[in-house]
Amino acid sequence: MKSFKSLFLANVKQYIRDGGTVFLTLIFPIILVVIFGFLFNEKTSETAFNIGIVEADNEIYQSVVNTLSESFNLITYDRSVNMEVLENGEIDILLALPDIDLEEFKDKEKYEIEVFYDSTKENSVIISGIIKNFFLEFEDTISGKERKISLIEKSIKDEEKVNRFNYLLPGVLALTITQLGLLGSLDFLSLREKKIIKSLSVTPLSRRMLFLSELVLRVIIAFVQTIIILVSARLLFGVTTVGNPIYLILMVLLGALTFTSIGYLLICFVKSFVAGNLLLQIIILIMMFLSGIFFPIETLPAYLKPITKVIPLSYFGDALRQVMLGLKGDYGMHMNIIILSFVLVLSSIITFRLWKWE
Amino acid sequence: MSACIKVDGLKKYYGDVKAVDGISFEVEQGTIFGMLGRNGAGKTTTIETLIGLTDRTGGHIEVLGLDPAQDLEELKERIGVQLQSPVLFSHLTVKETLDLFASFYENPIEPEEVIEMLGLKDKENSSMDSLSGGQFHRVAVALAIISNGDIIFLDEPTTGLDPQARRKVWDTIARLKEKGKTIFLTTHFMDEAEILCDSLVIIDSGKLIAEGSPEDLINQYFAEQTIEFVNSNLDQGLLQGYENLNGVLQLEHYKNKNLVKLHTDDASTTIKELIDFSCKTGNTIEKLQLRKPGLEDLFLKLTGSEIKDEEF
Repeated sequence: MKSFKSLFLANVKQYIRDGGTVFLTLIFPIILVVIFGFLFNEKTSETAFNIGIVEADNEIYQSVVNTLSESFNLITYDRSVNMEVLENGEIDILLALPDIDLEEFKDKEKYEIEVFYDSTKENSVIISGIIKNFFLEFEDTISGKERKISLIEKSIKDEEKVNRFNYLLPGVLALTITQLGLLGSLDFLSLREKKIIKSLSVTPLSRRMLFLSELVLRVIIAFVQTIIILVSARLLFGVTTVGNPIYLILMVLLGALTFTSIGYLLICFVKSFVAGNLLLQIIILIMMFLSGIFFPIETLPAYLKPITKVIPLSYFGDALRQVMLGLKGDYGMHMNIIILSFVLVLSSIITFRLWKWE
Repeated sequence: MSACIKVDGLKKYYGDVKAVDGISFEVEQGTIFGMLGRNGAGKTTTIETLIGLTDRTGGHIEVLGLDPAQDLEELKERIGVQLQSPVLFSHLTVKETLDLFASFYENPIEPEEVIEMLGLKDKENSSMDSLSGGQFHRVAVALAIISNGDIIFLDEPTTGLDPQARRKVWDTIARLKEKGKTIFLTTHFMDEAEILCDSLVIIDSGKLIAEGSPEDLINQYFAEQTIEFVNSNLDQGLLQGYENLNGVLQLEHYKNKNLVKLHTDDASTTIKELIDFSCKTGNTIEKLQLRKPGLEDLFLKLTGSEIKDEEF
């Protein structure tokens, strides 16, 4: 335990004092968040419509004005208003409200509300339809009529929280942890190449301890990266994630272990750092494009779709999406966990068989 | 005293290359044992098989009663090793590196003590990648010592050190011996082996070619000694007189320096007669010295070549 603690601290110091590595592992996730954030963080249509109202100070319209102003920008005009306000886009629609006297309301045959809009403008057309429905309800209210059928809107998804960037954020996290796990194994190649392992192997330090201290450091970095991604997405783009943080922690742990294990397995097939780096970069690139973490699987050509199913990153990305966004994924959560665990165990077993310390 | 290292018929082949070819020797406990040889003679391979870093092709090894091929874990606890060119965590300081290595052993020497021993106090907070070659080498030696092992293996411990640092390492090795440790060192410095080693072996092309204490080896291979002196009034008669002294095998005369060299197989008789002869003839001799052949001469004689620093 004493040697584990010392070796772990030595690894941490070695990592922190190597500015380049810190930059790559901690700044890279932020760069990914920023790129994806700027590309995909479009606001979900909170387009503000501007409605002009003429004769709005009649008391009877007070409730109308209040309700409308909750959803639209209201601008009041007097009767001398010119249609230019519509043409120049200052407002999308102009309502000319008649002077209604409640006592005369029942006896009067009809009232006309003039709705001026520019048929060449999309917003004007949309809003005139909404306003029509709105005044039907208004008439029901003041005449005391009750409708039998009403529409109740229910979203099956927590849509307001999910835009395209939200959807991609778990992918960013999945890719970051995959890179950390896979490329982390290069540290071992570097230790082996520099013969630090040989220098340590003349001491009673067990190689298991050497491996374990590396692994623990990698898992801790994975958690730091997770926090950096979530915090930077929130601070820079106001993105929040739902979901149980404990599940997220467990998922990140499983992912970090699985991809570290795959990394160690892959470097069993190479002898040098350069070859290892090349191999891992290629694998990461393939996984990134074919796993569906950034690009919907449906958009892939049919012959590539089966490959998606053998890429562990597909299941990790899907699991993180489910955990972080509470969405239903492409695969069941149990399936994701079983497959990632299976890959972890299998790659560990093969790695132990093929492993060469020197 | 008993042997703490027993090597019998050790062989290590790399394909057709016989790096070590059937060498046998024993190292007594509490002594300083040296292994001399040129680059590629098989010194490092021998050390690496003794500490379990390399598998042997054949032969028998016992280190502290253990076989490195089988009881490696136990053995590592009881030895300290300095590799020839170790690679360490570049961003750690000297003190941190020593603390780290101390944590690997159950009963290490305090890092401060080792720092003091090797004169590394002013460098203890420097990072490893900022050290000069000599300083780095001293840290490597410190890492072997910190183990507090019964046997300390040092592979070329003073290569690349300046004379002052070499002395420091020699003092440290002598102090370790005083503490009862056994030191196994390889070197290509003959003076180092002569000053430090209680016993040594010389290997060449993977084979052991000589074994014994430095004195015994020299005496064994060089029966003669050389008497040197200067006489500014030399003439043919005097030279003839010197040549006729008892024990003298050969006389060399260097006219420009008025120097005479008498090679003798009985130094004490020759010196006594030389002084008597000088008194009798009223001739004063100056700068009288008795020279013994050194390991350098022995090495030259045995291998037919000199070890040069550049080889390393």
